[in-house]
Amino acid sequence: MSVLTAKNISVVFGGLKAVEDFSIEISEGELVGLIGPNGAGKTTVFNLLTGVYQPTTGSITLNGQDVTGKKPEQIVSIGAARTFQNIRLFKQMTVLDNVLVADNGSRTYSVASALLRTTKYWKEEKAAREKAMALLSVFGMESLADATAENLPYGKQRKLEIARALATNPTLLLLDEPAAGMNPTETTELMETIALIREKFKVAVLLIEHDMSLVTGICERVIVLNFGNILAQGTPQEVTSNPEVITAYLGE
Amino acid sequence: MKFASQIINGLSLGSIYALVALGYNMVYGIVGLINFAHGDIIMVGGYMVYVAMVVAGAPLWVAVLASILVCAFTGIFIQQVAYQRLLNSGAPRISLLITAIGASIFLQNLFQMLFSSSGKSMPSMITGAPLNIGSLQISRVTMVTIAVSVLLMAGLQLVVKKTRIGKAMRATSEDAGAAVLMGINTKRTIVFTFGLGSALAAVGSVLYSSAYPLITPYMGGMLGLKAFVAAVLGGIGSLPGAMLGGYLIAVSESLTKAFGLSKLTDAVVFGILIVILLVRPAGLLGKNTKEKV
Repeated sequence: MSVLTAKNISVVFGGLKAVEDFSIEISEGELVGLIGPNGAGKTTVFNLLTGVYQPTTGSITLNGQDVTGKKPEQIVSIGAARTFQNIRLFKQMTVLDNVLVADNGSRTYSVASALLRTTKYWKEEKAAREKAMALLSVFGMESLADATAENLPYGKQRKLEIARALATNPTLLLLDEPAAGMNPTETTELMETIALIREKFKVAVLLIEHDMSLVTGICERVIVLNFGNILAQGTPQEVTSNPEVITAYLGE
Repeated sequence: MKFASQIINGLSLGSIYALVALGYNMVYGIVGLINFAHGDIIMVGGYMVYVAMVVAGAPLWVAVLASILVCAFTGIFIQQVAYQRLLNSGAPRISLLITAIGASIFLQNLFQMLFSSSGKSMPSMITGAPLNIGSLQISRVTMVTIAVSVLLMAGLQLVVKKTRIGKAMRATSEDAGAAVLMGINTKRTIVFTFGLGSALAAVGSVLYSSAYPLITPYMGGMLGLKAFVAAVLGGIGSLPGAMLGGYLIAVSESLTKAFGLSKLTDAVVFGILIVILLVRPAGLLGKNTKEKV
């Protein structure tokens, strides 16, 4: 079954067609790369898929539900979670709270029961905490649970963003340049992490990346975007040897 | 003894300033708006207690509850009607500020129309024998005010630090765009924040009007302004800052009185504000917004 189906989505800003007739289908557990030169519209695609922008035309189906025009928080609850190109953690909050705040499903207590410290509050808080700690331990970050997010080293902040996205229980994870600013060792580590979470959480991954070693290393399928249009798609090998793609990246 | 009792008076008044200042800072923290109508919520709360007790003859607890509910509702109503559209359309700060001042004037005029501009005297709400420690006498109102405020502030800390909605409040105030993409309903969170801030102001109002039992449609003006000064002094957007600022302002007011300079109290309060902002522009506990380059 496909997790995500987007059909002919377009968005226009002023007179500029930022994304035109973009279609994509992602199956369960698939790992797809989205590449393209700067300004090609990759992040705009993410913003369309997550409801930040409303597509001017076209439709988006997520886990069998039509999510075209839905609000971002509704799309999250239907199963798409994302990270950001420029890290957008809740910097003043602890690592654990960053994960807990994204986990909206598992706690149903009211404010009153939180103040009165009822058993329901304790039980649900404890379960949510344990779940969050288990998630952090996948990333080897359980010992940093009480650290303030902004004090983490860069690579760990990137990882925490992925952990926070996973806390929303997604079936589709959208990673916006996860390797940006990472050194080769950190990038290798990140590739292992992505492989691991795919295995462990059974999520499909759509990832924007400029680091071609990462894209060719882990993606099964690559879509190339240029000036808002799909230029090519196929296996990493097909795409990287496609003359049109090479021209788009390097010029004539 | 005079100093000790003035300090206790200061702590009592400071508790009220702190409760009101918390509302300013919660709202500022979450939507970046200085809600000038917040002071007038205190006035609404006062009139609600008056209506419930004097006009309807209800017992105190009913009056307090009604006042909390009506204030929370008024706060949310103002947010929905006056601010929401501006916030959604990303209007400039100055438009929001002017709208807030407009909402404040609207509330004052509305209550002037409903209850006339002359004050209403409040029934005595908190009665009982004062506490005597040596020659120091602490009235029941003072004790209740301090106790209730400290309890509420502790409760607020619990809500903000330990609960789901509290975490959502902090996340929304840090990055509303990211929060919404982590599944947080930021609209509901903002509504909750306005309601909670106004509910705290309602309690502040009940406590204030038991200590100074005369309410007028304009009472929110100066009280709101002092609480706003407390909020800025402590660090706009910071909850511990609001509490610290509230107590600092009120104790310095009381001490100025203790020195026999009653006429200078407001000058001293605003003087302290100016001096602290010169030294620490972000307030005592405010975040240093200097960006790492």
